[in-house]
Amino acid sequence: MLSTTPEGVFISINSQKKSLILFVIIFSIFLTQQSGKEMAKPATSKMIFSALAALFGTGFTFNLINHYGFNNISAAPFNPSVDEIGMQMLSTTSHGFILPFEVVSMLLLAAMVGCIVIAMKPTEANIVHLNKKED
Amino acid sequence: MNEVPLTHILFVSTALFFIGMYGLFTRRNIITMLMSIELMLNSVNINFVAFNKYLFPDKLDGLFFSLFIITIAAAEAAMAIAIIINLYRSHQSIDVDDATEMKF
Repeated sequence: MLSTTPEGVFISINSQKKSLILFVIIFSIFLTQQSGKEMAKPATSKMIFSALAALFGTGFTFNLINHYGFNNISAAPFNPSVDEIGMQMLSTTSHGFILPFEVVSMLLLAAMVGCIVIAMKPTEANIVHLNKKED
Repeated sequence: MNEVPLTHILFVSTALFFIGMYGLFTRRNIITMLMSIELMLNSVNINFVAFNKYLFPDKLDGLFFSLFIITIAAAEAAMAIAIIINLYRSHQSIDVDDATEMKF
């Protein structure tokens, strides 16, 4: 299957990072569930305004799409197989996506390290430092 | 041709985008606001793939754009959640109305 080819290995490493972040999202929803219960309902005027804005936007866009008419629909076959995507994702030719792929994987790594640093519990020394600042 | 026309897919993605916008405007919980933003990003992904399939079926660029958008969205969500965790620690709340220090 996927993981037997080099492309598959690289892509599954990237998707593992993504699924890890999904886990973090789910955990944070569970952890803050209690906090959401005591929250007041949003103001009625705010809700009415947002509903009107959303309805207007939807209607306006529907209208635009309806009247535009996409004529130049070509009949060539569309082949979005995993094979094709993997080959093009890691190809170094002029239509390959190896550079953005690597850049995005570095970005993900940096983002995750940054998250850990931001969300780390402050140490004793930091707390003393913060208290001094407040005084 | 008994295929789904392109306009119908665009209708779905428009509806998804504005549902996300409504959620972003009305919610007070930061995490549900983040989920609304995620909905909007997903509607853009649907557009990319639909235009790729219907207008340029000989290329795969739209698919790659949506793949990269998913990746960037994951990084963004991770950063946002780290910030939310910090905010929750300092304010004991995830209500956006409670975090007013940077309002002005």
